[in-house]
Amino acid sequence: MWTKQALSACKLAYKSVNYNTIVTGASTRGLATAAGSASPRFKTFKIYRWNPDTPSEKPFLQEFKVDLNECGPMVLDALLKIKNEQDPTLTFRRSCREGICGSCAMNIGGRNTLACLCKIDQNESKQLKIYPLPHMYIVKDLVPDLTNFYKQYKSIKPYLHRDKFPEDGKEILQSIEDRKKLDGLYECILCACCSTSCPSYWWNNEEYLGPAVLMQAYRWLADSRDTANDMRKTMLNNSMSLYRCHTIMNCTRTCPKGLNPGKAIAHIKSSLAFN
Amino acid sequence: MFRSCLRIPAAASRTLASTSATLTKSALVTPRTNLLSSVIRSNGSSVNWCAFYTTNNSPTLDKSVVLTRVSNIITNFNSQLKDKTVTNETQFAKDLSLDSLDTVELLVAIEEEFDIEIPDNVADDLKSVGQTVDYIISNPEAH
Amino acid sequence: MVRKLCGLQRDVVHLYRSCIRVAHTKPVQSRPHFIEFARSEFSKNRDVPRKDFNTIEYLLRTGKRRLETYSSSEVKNIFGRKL
Repeated sequence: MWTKQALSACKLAYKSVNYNTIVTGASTRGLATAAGSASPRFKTFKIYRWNPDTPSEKPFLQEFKVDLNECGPMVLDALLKIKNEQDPTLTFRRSCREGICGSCAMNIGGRNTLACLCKIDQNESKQLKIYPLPHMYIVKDLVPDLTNFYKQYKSIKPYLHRDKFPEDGKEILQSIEDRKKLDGLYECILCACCSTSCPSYWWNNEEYLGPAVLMQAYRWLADSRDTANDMRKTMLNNSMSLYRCHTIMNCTRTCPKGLNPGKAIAHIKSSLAFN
Repeated sequence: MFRSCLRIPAAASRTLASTSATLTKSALVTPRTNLLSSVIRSNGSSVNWCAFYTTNNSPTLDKSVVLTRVSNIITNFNSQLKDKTVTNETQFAKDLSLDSLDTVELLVAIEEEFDIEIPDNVADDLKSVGQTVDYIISNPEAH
Repeated sequence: MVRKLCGLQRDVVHLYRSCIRVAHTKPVQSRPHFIEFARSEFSKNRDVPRKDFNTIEYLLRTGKRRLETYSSSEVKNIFGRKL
Protein backbone atom coordinates (compact mmCIF):
# COMPACT_ATOMS: atom_id res chain seq x y z
CA MET A 1 0.00 0.00 0.00
CA TRP A 2 2.67 2.41 1.08
CA THR A 3 4.89 1.57 -1.78
CA LYS A 4 2.07 2.05 -4.22
CA GLN A 5 1.34 5.53 -2.93
CA ALA A 6 4.95 6.52 -2.95
CA LEU A 7 5.26 5.25 -6.46
CA SER A 8 2.31 7.25 -7.72
CA ALA A 9 3.61 10.35 -5.97
CA CYS A 10 6.91 9.87 -7.66
CA LYS A 11 5.19 9.46 -10.99
CA LEU A 12 3.25 12.64 -10.46
CA ALA A 13 6.38 14.55 -9.55
CA TYR A 14 8.15 13.17 -12.57
CA LYS A 15 5.26 14.08 -14.80
CA SER A 16 5.07 17.66 -13.55
CA VAL A 17 8.80 18.17 -13.94
CA ASN A 18 8.65 16.83 -17.43
CA TYR A 19 5.70 19.05 -18.19
CA ASN A 20 7.54 22.09 -16.89
CA THR A 21 10.56 21.52 -19.06
CA ILE A 22 8.39 21.13 -22.11
CA VAL A 23 6.59 24.38 -21.41
CA THR A 24 9.74 26.37 -20.81
CA GLY A 25 11.34 24.74 -23.79
CA ALA A 26 8.51 25.79 -26.03
CA SER A 27 8.39 29.33 -24.70
CA THR A 28 12.07 30.00 -25.21
CA ARG A 29 11.98 28.46 -28.62
CA GLY A 30 8.90 30.24 -29.85
CA LEU A 31 9.77 33.65 -28.52
CA ALA A 32 13.09 35.11 -29.46
CA THR A 33 12.68 38.22 -27.32
CA ALA A 34 13.14 38.34 -23.56
CA ALA A 35 9.82 40.14 -23.16
CA GLY A 36 7.90 36.85 -23.29
CA SER A 37 4.49 37.69 -24.77
CA ALA A 38 5.90 40.41 -26.99
CA SER A 39 3.87 42.13 -29.66
CA PRO A 40 4.23 40.45 -33.07
CA ARG A 41 7.19 41.55 -35.15
CA PHE A 42 6.08 41.38 -38.76
CA LYS A 43 8.78 41.27 -41.39
CA THR A 44 7.96 41.58 -45.07
CA PHE A 45 9.23 38.92 -47.45
CA LYS A 46 9.05 39.72 -51.15
CA ILE A 47 9.12 36.50 -53.09
CA TYR A 48 9.46 35.91 -56.84
CA ARG A 49 6.40 34.22 -58.26
CA TRP A 50 5.87 32.75 -61.69
CA ASN A 51 3.40 30.08 -62.70
CA PRO A 52 4.11 27.91 -65.75
CA ASP A 53 0.42 27.19 -66.20
CA THR A 54 -0.10 30.80 -67.24
CA PRO A 55 3.15 31.40 -69.13
CA SER A 56 2.07 34.70 -70.66
CA GLU A 57 1.59 36.29 -67.23
CA LYS A 58 4.74 38.10 -66.24
CA PRO A 59 6.65 37.06 -63.10
CA PHE A 60 6.08 39.33 -60.10
CA LEU A 61 7.14 39.83 -56.49
CA GLN A 62 4.56 38.82 -53.93
CA GLU A 63 4.64 40.25 -50.41
CA PHE A 64 4.20 38.05 -47.36
CA LYS A 65 4.27 39.26 -43.77
CA VAL A 66 5.71 36.85 -41.22
CA ASP A 67 5.76 37.31 -37.44
CA LEU A 68 9.39 36.71 -36.52
CA ASN A 69 8.33 35.80 -32.96
CA GLU A 70 6.49 32.82 -34.36
CA CYS A 71 9.11 31.80 -36.88
CA GLY A 72 12.34 29.82 -36.80
CA PRO A 73 15.62 31.65 -37.39
CA MET A 74 16.37 30.65 -40.97
CA VAL A 75 14.94 31.86 -44.26
CA LEU A 76 13.80 28.32 -45.02
CA ASP A 77 11.71 28.39 -41.83
CA ALA A 78 10.01 31.54 -43.05
CA LEU A 79 9.37 30.01 -46.48
CA LEU A 80 7.87 26.88 -44.94
CA LYS A 81 5.74 29.03 -42.62
CA ILE A 82 4.44 31.01 -45.57
CA LYS A 83 3.71 27.82 -47.50
CA ASN A 84 1.97 26.25 -44.49
CA GLU A 85 -0.08 29.21 -43.36
CA GLN A 86 -0.48 31.71 -46.15
CA ASP A 87 -0.02 30.30 -49.64
CA PRO A 88 0.34 26.57 -50.28
CA THR A 89 1.05 27.25 -53.96
CA LEU A 90 4.43 28.81 -53.16
CA THR A 91 6.92 26.42 -54.73
CA PHE A 92 10.53 25.80 -53.78
CA ARG A 93 12.90 22.87 -53.35
CA ARG A 94 13.99 21.82 -49.89
CA SER A 95 15.04 18.65 -48.23
CA CYS A 96 17.61 18.30 -45.46
CA ARG A 97 17.23 21.75 -43.80
CA GLU A 98 20.87 21.58 -42.69
CA GLY A 99 22.95 22.58 -45.68
CA ILE A 100 23.95 19.15 -46.92
CA CYS A 101 21.55 18.46 -49.79
CA GLY A 102 21.84 21.72 -51.72
CA SER A 103 18.17 21.74 -52.71
CA CYS A 104 17.17 25.13 -51.32
CA ALA A 105 19.73 27.23 -53.22
CA MET A 106 18.20 30.59 -54.12
CA ASN A 107 19.00 34.26 -54.31
CA ILE A 108 18.27 35.77 -50.89
CA GLY A 109 18.81 39.49 -50.37
CA GLY A 110 20.91 39.62 -53.53
CA ARG A 111 23.20 36.73 -52.63
CA ASN A 112 23.06 33.15 -53.84
CA THR A 113 22.90 30.93 -50.82
CA LEU A 114 21.04 28.07 -49.19
CA ALA A 115 17.78 29.14 -47.53
CA CYS A 116 18.40 26.65 -44.74
CA LEU A 117 21.78 28.18 -43.83
CA CYS A 118 20.76 31.82 -44.20
CA LYS A 119 19.63 33.58 -41.03
CA ILE A 120 16.73 36.01 -41.24
CA ASP A 121 17.88 39.55 -40.53
CA GLN A 122 15.96 40.26 -37.32
CA ASN A 123 15.48 43.91 -38.24
CA GLU A 124 11.81 43.79 -39.22
CA SER A 125 11.82 47.24 -40.80
CA LYS A 126 13.89 45.84 -43.68
CA GLN A 127 12.21 43.82 -46.41
CA LEU A 128 13.82 40.61 -47.63
CA LYS A 129 13.70 39.81 -51.33
CA ILE A 130 13.93 36.20 -52.42
CA TYR A 131 14.52 35.25 -56.06
CA PRO A 132 15.39 31.96 -57.71
CA LEU A 133 19.03 31.41 -58.79
CA PRO A 134 19.75 34.10 -61.37
CA HIS A 135 19.93 33.53 -65.13
CA MET A 136 18.37 30.12 -64.98
CA TYR A 137 15.23 28.95 -66.71
CA ILE A 138 12.48 28.73 -64.15
CA VAL A 139 10.29 25.70 -63.61
CA LYS A 140 8.05 27.47 -61.13
CA ASP A 141 8.44 30.25 -58.50
CA LEU A 142 11.80 29.57 -56.81
CA VAL A 143 12.57 26.33 -58.66
CA PRO A 144 15.22 26.69 -61.37
CA ASP A 145 15.76 24.21 -64.19
CA LEU A 146 19.13 22.58 -63.45
CA THR A 147 19.11 20.13 -66.37
CA ASN A 148 21.98 21.84 -68.13
CA PHE A 149 23.99 22.05 -64.90
CA TYR A 150 23.64 18.32 -64.27
CA LYS A 151 24.38 17.54 -67.91
CA GLN A 152 27.62 19.48 -67.63
CA TYR A 153 28.48 17.67 -64.41
CA LYS A 154 27.93 14.38 -66.17
CA SER A 155 30.15 15.50 -69.06
CA ILE A 156 33.27 15.66 -66.85
CA LYS A 157 32.85 11.98 -65.94
CA PRO A 158 32.81 12.52 -62.18
CA TYR A 159 33.90 9.05 -61.17
CA LEU A 160 37.13 7.11 -60.74
CA HIS A 161 38.93 6.14 -63.93
CA ARG A 162 41.56 3.48 -63.53
CA ASP A 163 43.03 0.69 -65.67
CA LYS A 164 44.38 -1.54 -62.93
CA PHE A 165 42.85 -2.31 -59.59
CA PRO A 166 44.68 -3.81 -56.60
CA GLU A 167 45.05 -7.55 -57.00
CA ASP A 168 43.91 -8.27 -53.47
CA GLY A 169 40.53 -6.80 -54.38
CA LYS A 170 40.72 -4.29 -51.57
CA GLU A 171 40.64 -0.50 -51.60
CA ILE A 172 43.10 1.61 -53.55
CA LEU A 173 45.46 3.05 -50.98
CA GLN A 174 46.28 6.72 -50.76
CA SER A 175 48.81 8.58 -48.63
CA ILE A 176 47.61 11.06 -46.03
CA GLU A 177 49.12 13.92 -48.05
CA ASP A 178 47.32 12.80 -51.21
CA ARG A 179 44.05 12.54 -49.34
CA LYS A 180 44.57 16.05 -47.99
CA LYS A 181 44.59 17.39 -51.55
CA LEU A 182 40.89 16.55 -51.80
CA ASP A 183 39.90 18.61 -48.78
CA GLY A 184 37.96 21.67 -49.81
CA LEU A 185 36.91 19.93 -53.03
CA TYR A 186 34.92 16.87 -52.06
CA GLU A 187 32.63 18.83 -49.72
CA CYS A 188 30.85 20.50 -52.63
CA ILE A 189 27.12 19.70 -52.60
CA LEU A 190 26.43 20.92 -56.15
CA CYS A 191 23.85 23.50 -55.09
CA ALA A 192 24.79 25.63 -58.15
CA CYS A 193 25.06 28.83 -56.08
CA CYS A 194 28.54 29.54 -57.45
CA SER A 195 27.87 28.74 -61.09
CA THR A 196 24.76 30.91 -61.17
CA SER A 197 26.62 33.82 -59.56
CA CYS A 198 29.27 33.78 -62.28
CA PRO A 199 28.79 36.38 -65.05
CA SER A 200 30.78 34.25 -67.47
CA TYR A 201 28.40 31.40 -66.79
CA TRP A 202 25.41 33.71 -67.32
CA TRP A 203 26.54 34.57 -70.83
CA ASN A 204 27.95 31.18 -71.89
CA ASN A 205 26.14 28.58 -69.84
CA GLU A 206 25.92 26.17 -72.78
CA GLU A 207 29.65 25.88 -73.34
CA TYR A 208 31.40 27.19 -70.23
CA LEU A 209 31.26 24.56 -67.51
CA GLY A 210 31.05 26.99 -64.60
CA PRO A 211 32.85 26.97 -61.23
CA ALA A 212 30.95 24.12 -59.53
CA VAL A 213 31.58 21.63 -62.33
CA LEU A 214 35.16 22.80 -62.86
CA MET A 215 35.90 22.34 -59.19
CA GLN A 216 34.66 18.77 -59.47
CA ALA A 217 36.78 18.33 -62.61
CA TYR A 218 39.74 19.40 -60.48
CA ARG A 219 38.67 17.11 -57.66
CA TRP A 220 39.22 14.16 -60.02
CA LEU A 221 42.39 15.61 -61.51
CA ALA A 222 43.81 16.01 -58.02
CA ASP A 223 42.90 12.50 -56.92
CA SER A 224 46.02 10.33 -56.74
CA ARG A 225 43.94 7.22 -57.44
CA ASP A 226 42.58 8.50 -60.75
CA THR A 227 44.72 7.69 -63.78
CA ALA A 228 42.76 9.49 -66.51
CA ASN A 229 44.45 12.87 -66.01
CA ASP A 230 45.35 13.26 -69.67
CA MET A 231 41.85 12.48 -70.84
CA ARG A 232 40.41 14.95 -68.34
CA LYS A 233 42.87 17.66 -69.33
CA THR A 234 42.28 17.32 -73.07
CA MET A 235 38.56 17.56 -72.40
CA LEU A 236 39.03 20.95 -70.71
CA ASN A 237 41.69 22.29 -73.05
CA ASN A 238 39.56 24.47 -75.34
CA SER A 239 38.55 28.09 -75.35
CA MET A 240 35.11 27.58 -73.81
CA SER A 241 34.97 24.82 -71.18
CA LEU A 242 37.56 26.27 -68.80
CA TYR A 243 39.00 29.51 -70.13
CA ARG A 244 35.77 31.50 -69.90
CA CYS A 245 36.75 31.89 -66.25
CA HIS A 246 38.14 35.40 -65.86
CA THR A 247 38.85 35.10 -62.14
CA ILE A 248 35.86 37.23 -61.16
CA MET A 249 35.69 35.19 -57.93
CA ASN A 250 31.96 35.62 -57.35
CA CYS A 251 31.93 31.85 -56.93
CA THR A 252 34.19 31.87 -53.89
CA ARG A 253 32.42 34.84 -52.37
CA THR A 254 28.99 33.23 -52.59
CA CYS A 255 29.73 29.57 -51.74
CA PRO A 256 27.46 28.66 -48.81
CA LYS A 257 29.83 25.88 -47.83
CA GLY A 258 32.85 28.20 -47.67
CA LEU A 259 34.70 26.42 -50.47
CA ASN A 260 36.95 28.05 -53.04
CA PRO A 261 36.04 27.10 -56.63
CA GLY A 262 38.09 30.04 -57.96
CA LYS A 263 41.24 28.52 -56.54
CA ALA A 264 40.42 25.09 -57.95
CA ILE A 265 40.00 26.62 -61.41
CA ALA A 266 43.33 28.43 -61.01
CA HIS A 267 44.94 25.07 -60.20
CA ILE A 268 43.51 23.53 -63.38
CA LYS A 269 44.73 26.47 -65.43
CA SER A 270 48.26 26.22 -64.07
CA SER A 271 48.40 22.45 -64.49
CA LEU A 272 47.37 22.91 -68.15
CA ALA A 273 49.86 25.73 -68.65
CA PHE A 274 52.80 23.69 -67.32
CA ASN A 275 51.75 20.48 -68.99
CA MET B 1 -1.77 0.08 -105.21
CA PHE B 2 0.58 2.13 -107.34
CA ARG B 3 2.14 3.53 -104.20
CA SER B 4 2.88 0.18 -102.66
CA CYS B 5 4.47 -1.06 -105.88
CA LEU B 6 6.85 1.84 -105.78
CA ARG B 7 7.62 1.39 -102.13
CA ILE B 8 8.93 -2.14 -102.37
CA PRO B 9 12.05 -1.39 -104.41
CA ALA B 10 12.57 1.68 -102.29
CA ALA B 11 12.64 -0.35 -99.12
CA ALA B 12 14.87 -2.99 -100.68
CA SER B 13 17.53 -0.51 -101.64
CA ARG B 14 17.20 1.47 -98.41
CA THR B 15 20.06 -0.30 -96.65
CA LEU B 16 22.29 0.15 -99.66
CA ALA B 17 21.36 3.79 -99.92
CA SER B 18 22.26 4.49 -96.33
CA THR B 19 25.75 3.06 -96.81
CA SER B 20 26.29 5.24 -99.82
CA ALA B 21 24.82 8.27 -98.09
CA THR B 22 28.18 9.48 -96.81
CA LEU B 23 29.61 9.13 -100.26
CA THR B 24 26.93 11.19 -101.94
CA LYS B 25 27.09 13.86 -99.27
CA SER B 26 30.77 14.44 -99.80
CA ALA B 27 30.11 14.52 -103.51
CA LEU B 28 28.43 17.85 -102.97
CA VAL B 29 31.71 19.31 -101.76
CA THR B 30 34.28 17.75 -104.01
CA PRO B 31 34.04 17.70 -107.78
CA ARG B 32 32.34 14.53 -108.84
CA THR B 33 34.91 13.15 -111.24
CA ASN B 34 37.65 13.51 -108.65
CA LEU B 35 35.68 11.63 -106.07
CA LEU B 36 34.83 8.86 -108.45
CA SER B 37 38.41 8.35 -109.54
CA SER B 38 39.70 8.58 -105.98
CA VAL B 39 37.32 5.87 -104.94
CA ILE B 40 38.57 3.64 -107.67
CA ARG B 41 42.18 4.45 -106.97
CA SER B 42 42.02 4.01 -103.24
CA ASN B 43 40.19 0.74 -103.40
CA GLY B 44 40.57 -1.70 -106.27
CA SER B 45 37.48 -3.69 -105.32
CA SER B 46 35.16 -0.69 -105.41
CA VAL B 47 33.09 -1.86 -108.35
CA ASN B 48 30.05 -2.05 -106.12
CA TRP B 49 30.49 1.48 -104.93
CA CYS B 50 30.67 2.75 -108.47
CA ALA B 51 27.51 0.90 -109.28
CA PHE B 52 25.59 2.72 -106.58
CA TYR B 53 27.10 5.90 -107.58
CA THR B 54 25.80 5.72 -111.10
CA THR B 55 22.35 4.45 -110.16
CA ASN B 56 21.94 7.22 -107.64
CA ASN B 57 22.83 9.85 -110.16
CA SER B 58 21.09 8.52 -113.20
CA PRO B 59 17.80 10.33 -113.71
CA THR B 60 15.60 7.49 -112.52
CA LEU B 61 13.13 9.97 -111.07
CA ASP B 62 11.07 11.45 -113.83
CA LYS B 63 9.44 14.80 -113.10
CA SER B 64 5.98 13.61 -114.03
CA VAL B 65 6.35 10.44 -111.97
CA VAL B 66 7.40 12.49 -108.94
CA LEU B 67 4.43 14.78 -109.48
CA THR B 68 2.01 11.83 -109.58
CA ARG B 69 3.48 10.35 -106.43
CA VAL B 70 3.33 13.71 -104.65
CA SER B 71 -0.24 14.36 -105.78
CA ASN B 72 -1.19 10.86 -104.61
CA ILE B 73 0.07 11.71 -101.16
CA ILE B 74 -1.75 15.02 -101.17
CA THR B 75 -5.10 13.55 -102.20
CA ASN B 76 -4.75 10.85 -99.56
CA PHE B 77 -3.68 13.38 -96.93
CA ASN B 78 -7.15 14.20 -95.66
CA SER B 79 -10.77 14.14 -96.76
CA GLN B 80 -10.85 17.78 -97.86
CA LEU B 81 -8.11 17.21 -100.40
CA LYS B 82 -9.63 14.07 -101.93
CA ASP B 83 -10.89 15.64 -105.14
CA LYS B 84 -8.24 18.31 -105.63
CA THR B 85 -6.29 18.35 -108.85
CA VAL B 86 -2.64 18.85 -108.11
CA THR B 87 -0.32 20.58 -110.54
CA ASN B 88 3.15 22.04 -110.23
CA GLU B 89 1.61 25.43 -109.60
CA THR B 90 -0.50 24.27 -106.65
CA GLN B 91 0.40 26.15 -103.49
CA PHE B 92 0.02 24.43 -100.12
CA ALA B 93 -1.40 27.39 -98.25
CA LYS B 94 -3.41 29.12 -100.95
CA ASP B 95 -4.79 26.32 -103.10
CA LEU B 96 -4.93 23.46 -100.62
CA SER B 97 -5.76 25.76 -97.67
CA LEU B 98 -3.26 23.99 -95.43
CA ASP B 99 -1.91 25.87 -92.42
CA SER B 100 1.79 25.84 -91.53
CA LEU B 101 1.43 22.74 -89.36
CA ASP B 102 -0.51 20.83 -92.06
CA THR B 103 2.23 21.70 -94.52
CA VAL B 104 4.81 20.25 -92.14
CA GLU B 105 2.83 17.02 -91.83
CA LEU B 106 2.44 16.79 -95.59
CA LEU B 107 6.15 17.35 -96.20
CA VAL B 108 7.08 14.67 -93.69
CA ALA B 109 4.69 12.28 -95.47
CA ILE B 110 6.43 13.15 -98.74
CA GLU B 111 9.82 12.60 -97.08
CA GLU B 112 8.70 9.11 -96.10
CA GLU B 113 7.49 8.32 -99.60
CA PHE B 114 10.83 9.26 -101.19
CA ASP B 115 12.94 8.04 -98.27
CA ILE B 116 14.70 11.35 -97.80
CA GLU B 117 14.94 13.94 -95.08
CA ILE B 118 14.35 17.52 -96.17
CA PRO B 119 16.52 19.83 -94.04
CA ASP B 120 14.62 22.40 -91.99
CA ASN B 121 15.94 25.42 -93.87
CA VAL B 122 14.92 23.95 -97.22
CA ALA B 123 11.54 22.75 -96.01
CA ASP B 124 10.72 26.24 -94.69
CA ASP B 125 10.85 27.61 -98.21
CA LEU B 126 8.84 24.88 -99.94
CA LYS B 127 5.54 26.57 -100.59
CA SER B 128 4.26 24.85 -103.70
CA VAL B 129 4.09 21.41 -105.26
CA GLY B 130 6.45 22.49 -108.04
CA GLN B 131 9.17 23.56 -105.60
CA THR B 132 8.83 20.30 -103.74
CA VAL B 133 9.06 18.22 -106.90
CA ASP B 134 12.14 20.15 -107.98
CA TYR B 135 13.77 19.56 -104.64
CA ILE B 136 13.04 15.83 -104.74
CA ILE B 137 14.56 15.56 -108.19
CA SER B 138 17.63 17.52 -107.11
CA ASN B 139 18.11 15.21 -104.11
CA PRO B 140 20.31 12.28 -105.20
CA GLU B 141 19.07 10.12 -102.32
CA ALA B 142 15.44 10.28 -103.38
CA HIS B 143 13.95 7.21 -104.96
CA MET C 1 2.37 35.04 -101.57
CA VAL C 2 2.56 33.57 -98.10
CA ARG C 3 4.05 35.81 -95.44
CA LYS C 4 7.60 34.89 -94.50
CA LEU C 5 7.93 33.37 -91.04
CA CYS C 6 10.00 35.14 -88.42
CA GLY C 7 12.79 33.34 -86.55
CA LEU C 8 10.70 32.23 -83.64
CA GLN C 9 7.88 31.03 -85.87
CA ARG C 10 10.41 28.98 -87.80
CA ASP C 11 11.53 27.43 -84.53
CA VAL C 12 7.96 26.50 -83.76
CA VAL C 13 7.54 24.91 -87.19
CA HIS C 14 10.84 23.07 -86.75
CA LEU C 15 9.70 21.73 -83.40
CA TYR C 16 6.46 20.57 -84.97
CA ARG C 17 8.40 18.90 -87.75
CA SER C 18 10.54 17.05 -85.19
CA CYS C 19 7.33 15.97 -83.46
CA ILE C 20 5.89 14.58 -86.70
CA ARG C 21 9.17 12.85 -87.53
CA VAL C 22 9.18 11.23 -84.09
CA ALA C 23 5.56 10.21 -84.64
CA HIS C 24 6.66 8.42 -87.81
CA THR C 25 9.13 6.32 -85.80
CA LYS C 26 6.28 4.93 -83.69
CA PRO C 27 4.24 1.78 -84.41
CA VAL C 28 1.97 2.36 -87.40
CA GLN C 29 -1.31 1.97 -85.53
CA SER C 30 -0.42 4.58 -82.91
CA ARG C 31 1.04 7.14 -85.32
CA PRO C 32 -2.24 9.03 -85.76
CA HIS C 33 -2.47 9.34 -81.98
CA PHE C 34 0.97 10.93 -81.78
CA ILE C 35 0.21 13.32 -84.61
CA GLU C 36 -3.14 14.23 -83.14
CA PHE C 37 -1.56 14.75 -79.72
CA ALA C 38 1.18 17.00 -81.09
CA ARG C 39 -1.40 18.96 -83.00
CA SER C 40 -3.66 19.44 -79.99
CA GLU C 41 -0.73 20.54 -77.82
CA PHE C 42 0.28 23.10 -80.42
CA SER C 43 -3.29 24.32 -80.88
CA LYS C 44 -3.62 24.96 -77.15
CA ASN C 45 -1.22 27.85 -77.57
CA ARG C 46 -2.46 29.03 -80.94
CA ASP C 47 -3.56 32.37 -79.47
CA VAL C 48 -0.24 33.37 -77.93
CA PRO C 49 0.59 36.78 -79.46
CA ARG C 50 3.35 36.72 -82.06
CA LYS C 51 5.37 39.29 -80.11
CA ASP C 52 5.19 37.51 -76.76
CA PHE C 53 8.72 36.15 -77.08
CA ASN C 54 9.14 35.06 -73.48
CA THR C 55 6.09 32.86 -73.55
CA ILE C 56 6.90 31.37 -76.93
CA GLU C 57 10.47 30.66 -75.91
CA TYR C 58 9.25 29.03 -72.72
CA LEU C 59 6.77 26.89 -74.62
CA LEU C 60 9.45 25.91 -77.13
CA ARG C 61 11.76 24.86 -74.32
CA THR C 62 9.20 22.75 -72.53
CA GLY C 63 8.03 21.40 -75.87
CA LYS C 64 11.53 20.23 -76.72
CA ARG C 65 11.84 18.67 -73.29
CA ARG C 66 8.57 16.78 -73.67
CA LEU C 67 9.45 15.68 -77.19
CA GLU C 68 12.67 14.21 -75.78
CA THR C 69 10.59 12.23 -73.30
CA TYR C 70 8.14 10.95 -75.89
CA SER C 71 10.94 10.14 -78.38
CA SER C 72 12.00 7.19 -76.26
CA SER C 73 11.32 3.95 -78.07
CA GLU C 74 9.58 2.66 -74.96
CA VAL C 75 6.75 5.13 -75.52
CA LYS C 76 4.55 3.14 -77.86
CA ASN C 77 1.27 5.01 -77.76
CA ILE C 78 -0.19 8.24 -76.49
CA PHE C 79 -3.63 9.52 -75.57
CA GLY C 80 -4.27 13.22 -75.09
CA ARG C 81 -7.17 14.97 -73.48
CA LYS C 82 -9.63 16.33 -75.96
CA LEU C 83 -9.90 20.12 -75.93
